[in-house]
Amino acid sequence: MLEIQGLSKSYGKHLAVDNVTFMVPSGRVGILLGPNGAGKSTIIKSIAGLLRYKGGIGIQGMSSKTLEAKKVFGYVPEIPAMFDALTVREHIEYIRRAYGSSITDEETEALLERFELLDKQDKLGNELSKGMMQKVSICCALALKPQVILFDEPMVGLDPKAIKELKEVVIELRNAGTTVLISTHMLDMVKELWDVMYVMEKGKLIKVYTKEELGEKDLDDVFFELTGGDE
Amino acid sequence: MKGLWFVAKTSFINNVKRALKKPATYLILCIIVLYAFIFGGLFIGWKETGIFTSDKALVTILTIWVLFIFFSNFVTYAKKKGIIFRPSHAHFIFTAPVSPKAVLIMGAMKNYALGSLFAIVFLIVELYVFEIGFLKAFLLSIVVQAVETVFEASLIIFLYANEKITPKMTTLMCRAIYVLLLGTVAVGVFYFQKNGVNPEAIINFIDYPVIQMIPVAGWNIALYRLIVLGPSTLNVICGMLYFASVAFMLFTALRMKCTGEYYEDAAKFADDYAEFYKRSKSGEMVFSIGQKKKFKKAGKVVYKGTGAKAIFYRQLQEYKKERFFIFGGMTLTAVIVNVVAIKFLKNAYSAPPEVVMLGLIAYITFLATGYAGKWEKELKSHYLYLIPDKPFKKLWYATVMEHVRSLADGVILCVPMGMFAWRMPFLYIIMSIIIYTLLQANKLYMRVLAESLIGNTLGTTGRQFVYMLFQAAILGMGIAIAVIAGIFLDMIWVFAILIIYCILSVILIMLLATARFELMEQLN
Repeated sequence: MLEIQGLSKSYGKHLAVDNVTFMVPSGRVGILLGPNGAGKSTIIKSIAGLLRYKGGIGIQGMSSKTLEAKKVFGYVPEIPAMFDALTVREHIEYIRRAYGSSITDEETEALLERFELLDKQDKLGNELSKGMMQKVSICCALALKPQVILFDEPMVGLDPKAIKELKEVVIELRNAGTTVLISTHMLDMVKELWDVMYVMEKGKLIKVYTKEELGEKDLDDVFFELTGGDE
Repeated sequence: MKGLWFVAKTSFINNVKRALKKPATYLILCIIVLYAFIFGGLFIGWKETGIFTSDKALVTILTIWVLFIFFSNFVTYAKKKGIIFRPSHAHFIFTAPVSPKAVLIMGAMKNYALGSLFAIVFLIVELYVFEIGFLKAFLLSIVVQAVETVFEASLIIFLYANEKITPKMTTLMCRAIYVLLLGTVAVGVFYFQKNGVNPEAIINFIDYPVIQMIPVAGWNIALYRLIVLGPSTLNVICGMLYFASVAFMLFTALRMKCTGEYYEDAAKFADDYAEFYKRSKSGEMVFSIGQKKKFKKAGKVVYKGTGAKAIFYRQLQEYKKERFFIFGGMTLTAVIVNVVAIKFLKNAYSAPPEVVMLGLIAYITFLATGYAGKWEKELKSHYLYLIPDKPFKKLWYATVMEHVRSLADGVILCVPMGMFAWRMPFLYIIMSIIIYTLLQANKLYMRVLAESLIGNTLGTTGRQFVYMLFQAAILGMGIAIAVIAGIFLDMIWVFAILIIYCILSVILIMLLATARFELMEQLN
């Protein structure tokens, strides 16, 4: 479960996020939508612990700042940044050690195989293309066996096969009871995945929909209705 | 911590493995060995002169060192810019279940390593030049260094991890340090104006008891004095205060609550540093990290022409928005050289002034070999390759603004120097300006050619080195021709032959470099 309570964040005099409160229950996939500058990235970075903020963020009932909460939290940033001198395999090894993850060698190989990284496992971080970095970033977030996972524009730079795999992974995570939050502009890519939709505009949360509430309505239409089409 | 150790250890091993495969590593190692020999020779010479080798001289050097290091460290750590984090830290470490304090301690490893390297150099100097004996040297460079590292680590935690210090308080602290430093400099200037700058005056200045009373830094100095010069009431008390302050800082650092709020500043600095590193590696001169460049408002530029000409007009528009228009680092160098020439070189050389002028031009051109101008960004822009025009025209219009800049710098360099330092005939001054402009053009095209020929096979350092060799060869040939012409002909012929030589070499290198503009294959 991921809980955001009265989250506010300012950059100097600019209020980027204004008292936002929402909750993604366990075993559900939330999507965070909004036009550019709506405050989505600020919320994502705050949850990941990369920003100072006012308010509270809870992961599985624990403050997101505690080490216990971080142990069960996976994060896939919009722009992946690899350790230059670590190979793909060593990135996973780092995750295993840092998070005390129970992932086995066989599971690691299966994960790398799934994202077509097995033949690239000895490549160094600075030798990878942007798409490959994104795949490694996803594998690392999955390697810690998260209970809450955050994806920030995860499909950018991925090839069709990887997008397909990622969608399947998200469904598997949901079925396993993991909380998933995805921030994206690619509405088409997430339309079969989502359970709850959070729409933001100008730093405020303007609407929350569940899939049941929306019924047969198209995701794009709803988004443009709410935000005036300024994606 | 296990994860952090893994990253540090594995990265180190992989970096060493990778470095051993690069020719540039061996080149750098040779340069390091060369420097070690040079410094070794300097130390031997220093010892033989016997000047500034007393115990008090050692204390003076250590005092200046501590004051410099302590305050500069304090300011950079307070601004949360003293530890170099990378974007990968923000991605994988700041979000991991690792104590934010441990992240700081591991992040500062390079700083400790640098401190230890200096400690070893000091140990050698203390033993060889100052001959203070092994015990004292060991206490100074190993024991005190270890205590200082504990203090530094505690200070890092105190300044980074302290979530009660607001940005406003940080600014105030830094300003207080600057005021303290300025005050010390002002007192120093006043003192040395009165007593003159000589080794004895410096030692006497450092002897002022008030220096040992400066909190922490002064107490650290007192400890050095206690070890080197022996006990006095002041250094014993201040030395004890130093140990007490280290213990207090360590205790505070251990007890302090830290949830990782500093990650915001560290992640921002990581991005800024990555940008700085990238730009520096590509040969740009970058003086500040994380400060966005400000541009002036400028009027519209009318594009007179199409195709490659658009590159020139776009550059013109960009320069109009620059704070100093087309004037930059080379202009400043030209002004400084003029001041030095007019004030100090006027009658300092027995050689003809024309020869000194040409020598200066060649020297400046060679020194600025590594300096990448604004135009080099053109090479990294794919638009350059996509513009539908001939490669030669693209090369010309992408660099013509640089020639205008060189001409302006050449005028600033040669006219005042020629007129006021040596009263040279005006024709020689004009010819000097032309030679300067041509040499700069040569440098510019040579860079394109070197990149085109070498590509990434030798890495940035290797490429830079080969490029410098090319540049030295061109200049060397020019100097040889000038010398031969000077022996047999009048000075006017030396200038004329040099101009012809420069024009020919520029045209040749320009034609060779044109190939670079046909393909964007070598684009970084």
